[in-house]
Amino acid sequence: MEILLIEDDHETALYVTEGLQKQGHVVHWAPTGPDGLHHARHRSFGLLIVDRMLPGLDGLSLVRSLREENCDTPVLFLTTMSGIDDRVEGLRSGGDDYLTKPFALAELQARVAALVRRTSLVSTPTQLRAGPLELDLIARHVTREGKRVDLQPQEFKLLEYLVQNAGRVVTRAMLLENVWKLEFDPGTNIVESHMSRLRAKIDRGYSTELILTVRGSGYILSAH
Amino acid sequence: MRTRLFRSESFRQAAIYAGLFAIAMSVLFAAMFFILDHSFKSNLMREVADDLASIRAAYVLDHDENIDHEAQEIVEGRLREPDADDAFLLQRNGKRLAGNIPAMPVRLGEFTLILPTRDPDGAHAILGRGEMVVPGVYAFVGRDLEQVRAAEKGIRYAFGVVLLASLVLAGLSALALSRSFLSRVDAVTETCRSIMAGRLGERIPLSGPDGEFKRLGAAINATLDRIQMLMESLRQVSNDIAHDMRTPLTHLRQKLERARDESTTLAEYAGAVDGAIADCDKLLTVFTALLRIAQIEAGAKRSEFAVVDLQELAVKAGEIYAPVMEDMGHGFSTQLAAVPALKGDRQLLLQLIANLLDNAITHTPSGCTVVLSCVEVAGQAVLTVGDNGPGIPAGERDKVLRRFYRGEQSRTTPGSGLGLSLVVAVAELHGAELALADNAPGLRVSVRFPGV
Repeated sequence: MEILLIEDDHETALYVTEGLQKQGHVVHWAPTGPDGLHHARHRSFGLLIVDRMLPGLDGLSLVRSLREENCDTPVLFLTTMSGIDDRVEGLRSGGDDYLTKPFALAELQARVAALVRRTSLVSTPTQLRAGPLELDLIARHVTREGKRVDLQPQEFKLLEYLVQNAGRVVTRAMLLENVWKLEFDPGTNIVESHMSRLRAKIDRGYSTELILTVRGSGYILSAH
Repeated sequence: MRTRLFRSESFRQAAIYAGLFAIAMSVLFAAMFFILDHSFKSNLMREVADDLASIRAAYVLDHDENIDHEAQEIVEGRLREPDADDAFLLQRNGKRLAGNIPAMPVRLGEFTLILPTRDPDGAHAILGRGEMVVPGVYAFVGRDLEQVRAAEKGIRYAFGVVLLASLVLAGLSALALSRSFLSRVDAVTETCRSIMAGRLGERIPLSGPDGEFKRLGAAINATLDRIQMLMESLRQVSNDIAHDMRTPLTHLRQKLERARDESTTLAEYAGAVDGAIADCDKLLTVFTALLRIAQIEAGAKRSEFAVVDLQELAVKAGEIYAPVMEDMGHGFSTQLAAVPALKGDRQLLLQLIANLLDNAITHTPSGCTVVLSCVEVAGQAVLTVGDNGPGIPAGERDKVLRRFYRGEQSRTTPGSGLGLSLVVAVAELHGAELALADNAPGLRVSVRFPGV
């Protein structure tokens, strides 16, 4: 996957580039707004990673003009601002996800993987399948190897998100944002509590665990 | 001071008004003068016409040997009247028959006759009418304009005095006005200067009548109050950061130092680095919380308030926290009734509830019970989180709302010390009233929201 990174801070750019290269991505770096806009217009990329504060042209305006030109490449905003409205503003201007600096590399990698996947998801199916798991999104049923698993609504939402991202790491922050729609980090670890309940229901009595913990990053639902 | 006074905006305004007033007065006077003059003269000419008519009538009636006799009688009779300022002339073929002015060449119609007076410098102006009363007989009747002129002169003089006086008065009031204006502006400027110099407590004096100035001053003072409050909170935050961040940063530094000096295996290094990263994350969490509180306190979010259903938010928070409570060994129950809608920010209100629940979990030992309730009291939505833990002594309840404050008992429990500060900020943003009370036993925090 070719990724265009528009970021004026040299150190961050290096950090991001190395981190994504390790995952097998090709990263092109543009250090200014106008440079970034030029590259984004003249080549097609799988993903744009855009800093909000850029010399020449700020990230929001850059993405806004790309969207006006019908460019639908997914965009991940990076920012040092952690304003309570920044996230909303970023998503409103056409960004697909938002990450506040400083961030852990694992967080960035997980979000990039999720965004790349999002583009290939054309429409929302009524059924989701990952290995032995089957989710009926209409009836809100879950079965593992054909056997019914009873889940609470919150647990179902959590599993749905994991299945949508099966085979990829999802971080705590991604779960808070996407499953519970919380745009802040609560003090106690609510993710763990919910996850342990879901695991108990999904994996109890089976020899293989479907939900795995990735140390220092988050969780992964095995796709096979 | 003097040049400043004359250059001031208010003085210029007043001068313009005075000028316009003078012009208006002059126009008024000119019109009045013209009308007065006209009516004087037309009255005069009517009398003249009457006199001429009676002279003409004398010729019609009289048939004596001397046909001019009757007309002469009329003229002389009129001239004998006391205080007569009339001018009469009756002449036949250029020879005067009667009258008080010398014979003159025949001139018909209305005209002004200038006669020399006894004073060498003066001249009489006589307005009158000349007519051939019968063939060969010319009569002129006129009135001396001297009285009219004198009256007009008096009026002009009076006008001049009035105009001058009003201009002087206008000038004086302009000066007085701009002086009082300047002094009030100066008071504002002076206050601003002293605030710039660092005396943030200074305020504009609100003396004088209730007017624009007082309202402006009050508005500026309110702005200053708000700025001072924000500055205060900024200073507080800086102090808190300096005070409370130094310890964790020192720890972090010590850990890294120890790792450099004492670690020998890769695993030991990795452990030290992980520890350092965890410390950094904790510090970052505190920074984020501080920034968030500062932004909430700035109040910008208020413009994006929407109608929010507090019951729904509380239900959601309850669902999210129920498993956490269970895992921590806390009993948890909710009591969520429909409440009046309120205007607010969903995410911030969710965080308020989450922080109150977090707070209850963190500061009560396992086995305690937490109750989340949302009820309507006197038309207002009231959200309450109560526990049966150790509670907070009455004297300490105000202090726990401060940033980074920790009660003596909670020195060792985890947390940024900012949870309740954020609750305070969110409550204030929503105009809600936050109260800490004794739950007998335990702590009860309630937030009372104003209606829409």
